[in-house]
Amino acid sequence: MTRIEDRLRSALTEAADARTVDVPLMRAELDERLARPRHRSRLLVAAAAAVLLVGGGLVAVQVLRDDSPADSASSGEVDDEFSCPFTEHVDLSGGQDEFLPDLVGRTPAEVAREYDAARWEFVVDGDTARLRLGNEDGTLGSDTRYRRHDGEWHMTTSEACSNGTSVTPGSDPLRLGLHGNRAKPAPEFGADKEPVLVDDRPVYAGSGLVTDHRSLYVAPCGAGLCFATSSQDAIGDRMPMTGRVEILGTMCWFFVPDTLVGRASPYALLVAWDPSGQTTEFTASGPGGTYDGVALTDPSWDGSKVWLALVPTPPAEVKLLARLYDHEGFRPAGPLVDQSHAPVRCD
Amino acid sequence: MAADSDVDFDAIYVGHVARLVRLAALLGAEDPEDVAQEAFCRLYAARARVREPELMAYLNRIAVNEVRSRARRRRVAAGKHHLLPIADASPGPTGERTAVLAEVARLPHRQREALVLRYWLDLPYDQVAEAMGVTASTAKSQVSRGLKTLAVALDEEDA
Repeated sequence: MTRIEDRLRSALTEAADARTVDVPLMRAELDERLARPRHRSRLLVAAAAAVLLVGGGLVAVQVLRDDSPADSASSGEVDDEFSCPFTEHVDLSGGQDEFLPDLVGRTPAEVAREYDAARWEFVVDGDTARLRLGNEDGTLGSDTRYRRHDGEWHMTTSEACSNGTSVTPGSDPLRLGLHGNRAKPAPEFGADKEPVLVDDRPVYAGSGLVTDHRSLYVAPCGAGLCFATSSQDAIGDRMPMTGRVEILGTMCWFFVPDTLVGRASPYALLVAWDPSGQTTEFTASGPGGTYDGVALTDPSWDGSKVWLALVPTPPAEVKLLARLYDHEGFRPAGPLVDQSHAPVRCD
Repeated sequence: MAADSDVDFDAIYVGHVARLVRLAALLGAEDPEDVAQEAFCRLYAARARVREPELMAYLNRIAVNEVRSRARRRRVAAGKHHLLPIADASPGPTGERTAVLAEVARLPHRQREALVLRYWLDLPYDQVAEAMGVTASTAKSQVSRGLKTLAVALDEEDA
């Protein structure tokens, strides 16, 4: 045995021996616990099993109903197919423990509760079963298959929604717009200009369920341009405007930290304003290349439009070049507005 | 269980509950007594089909699963903190024990499970694996990685 093994064994033994356990008190508490309603059903099932033991072969089924579910069960409907952009197969060997929907000694309802699944469906088909955990809107978060062995359900495969990998973080991450199934409702801007959806992207936990979901909207608001997340989150920001065609600046706060790549803010949103709708193109050039912007408008905006370009946050020392073109401008000769943004920081 | 009478259940409870409380504590449970009680509630429900030789393995597995589940829930509630405190209610711990246990508490949960099962319960790798719900080779690699991490943290060179 190595010295580290020796030290570990001694420390564990000392810690364990130092812990006193009041067995009679715990035994009395257990009796109370077994008598509570939650366990009464278990006792009844066990009693039923004991009775059926006399009659023969239904015992296993009766016991399994309680401890290792034999019947299909559900709490709300969950989609049959994934609608998220990326999925990944869960490591069932125990190499990672972020998500392991193990049904040994647990019911599907307990697994669903552990991972905060708003909905779940457990479907038994002979000696195989399937547990689908879903989000509030019924979209599928994870799909786990089981096979029954010795009266217990053993996981065979599990697939869950993911944010992509560090190589491909998310679905077309620089594309603005809808990335999930549906956006959250628009906020109240308090003006006569209708808000327009800028972006909506869910963030998935290891369980494949959505943990963070922001919908970003924009609308002119007086002498400024207002951004706000849905009415359910109520996070907002306002960029002042002069009334001319102009590049208003960059915004970082909306895009939630991307823990997959270990950076606080992986994206910067460049924003330009065109009060008369004359511009035709908006680009942002950074270290990774040139990124095209998209124009958003609404009939209630009186012909004005906002240009937005999402770019990867460049290193702190690198500048971004943002350019607005009008319909008479020709790249690269004549941008209407040519503005160097320096250095963009999204800490 | 050989028989499903309350007499047998009581004997099993008295014989195993202290060990299970200590196991849950070493695995980092905030409420090791409650983990042990939960394990026995499950055993009570399943007593008709759990045979005597499988009893200890069954209880170990339920306890490991229960501590793991509660830790996950705590991590979610606390914003996914990675580290779990080791529950040590004993008076006057030695400096050596404190240092070793502090490093055990910093290990990834699976490595911690593997080390506790292997070095406190003295389980062979196949039984460590069974309690963790993984393969024996995974259990072995978790033990090996846990020892290496501990050795580095505690300035050992012989792991």
